[in-house]
Amino acid sequence: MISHDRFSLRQSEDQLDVMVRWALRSNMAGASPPSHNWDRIRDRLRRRGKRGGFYQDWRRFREFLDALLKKDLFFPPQQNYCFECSVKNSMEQHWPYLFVCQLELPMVWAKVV
Amino acid sequence: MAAGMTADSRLITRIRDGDIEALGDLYERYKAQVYRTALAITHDERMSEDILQETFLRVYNYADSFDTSRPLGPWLYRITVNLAYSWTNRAKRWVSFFQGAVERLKAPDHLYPERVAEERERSQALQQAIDTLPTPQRVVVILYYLEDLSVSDIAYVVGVPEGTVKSRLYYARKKLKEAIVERGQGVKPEVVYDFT
Repeated sequence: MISHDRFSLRQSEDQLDVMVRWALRSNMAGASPPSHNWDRIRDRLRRRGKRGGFYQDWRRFREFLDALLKKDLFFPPQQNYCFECSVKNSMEQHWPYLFVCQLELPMVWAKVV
Repeated sequence: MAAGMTADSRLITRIRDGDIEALGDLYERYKAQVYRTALAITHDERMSEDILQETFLRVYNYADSFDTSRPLGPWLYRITVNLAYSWTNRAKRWVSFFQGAVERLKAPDHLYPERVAEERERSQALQQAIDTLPTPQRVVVILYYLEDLSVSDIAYVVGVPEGTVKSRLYYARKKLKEAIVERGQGVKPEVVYDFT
């Protein structure tokens, strides 16, 4: 197994490290953005008006969704007992068992007769 | 970038209240690092300017999501690197990415032309070798050597485990060493690696 702990301890750097650092820094020496860059950022922000963005929009959407769910618009609670509903629910839950029973019932009936 | 964390936190708090001037202060503080990192990855000045703008626009938009108990630097680098990744990938569809990269990064001339030429040649050779690294390795090399980020910070910025960062650095160094030895740039052959 290779240990790469030398990268955590910078004091063990060698000539290659020095050369790579020097090459990168000499190529980037004096690199700075043009002065008008900040003006563009500020203009874009002012044009857009108050702070917004995806994160805030997403937060607002989630709050809106939470409010909707609390009002039970999508999933209304079954406050009143409904016999038909309960039968339908139980049939939906146990349909394979009912299906089997339905197949066997005539045979059972025939035996009884 | 780690220094001045409390000042950064104060600025972030002001930005959350919609203070554009606070963003301006933050921009002045970090523009060079962000721009340099973007330029080192993309090698495109226009794209780097756009990345710089977009980074600070995102800081403004997502200031609510930033944990002010943590240093701001790695978060900024993370945004920058993510943007640079996606934008260079987009640009690669249309243009050859490495074409003419070295020429665009030429340093200005100095007083000693022969020494400058020699230094430039060595620097460019190494820069070319860095440019030929796969993007994940190149990004790690830039953050480690150019921006002096720690391995743990790079892991956060790039979104990989620390072991992966060390592995990428190891293989990048290996490739760079081979490239330099091929060109006869004079790196000592006994570059030490720890094997356990």
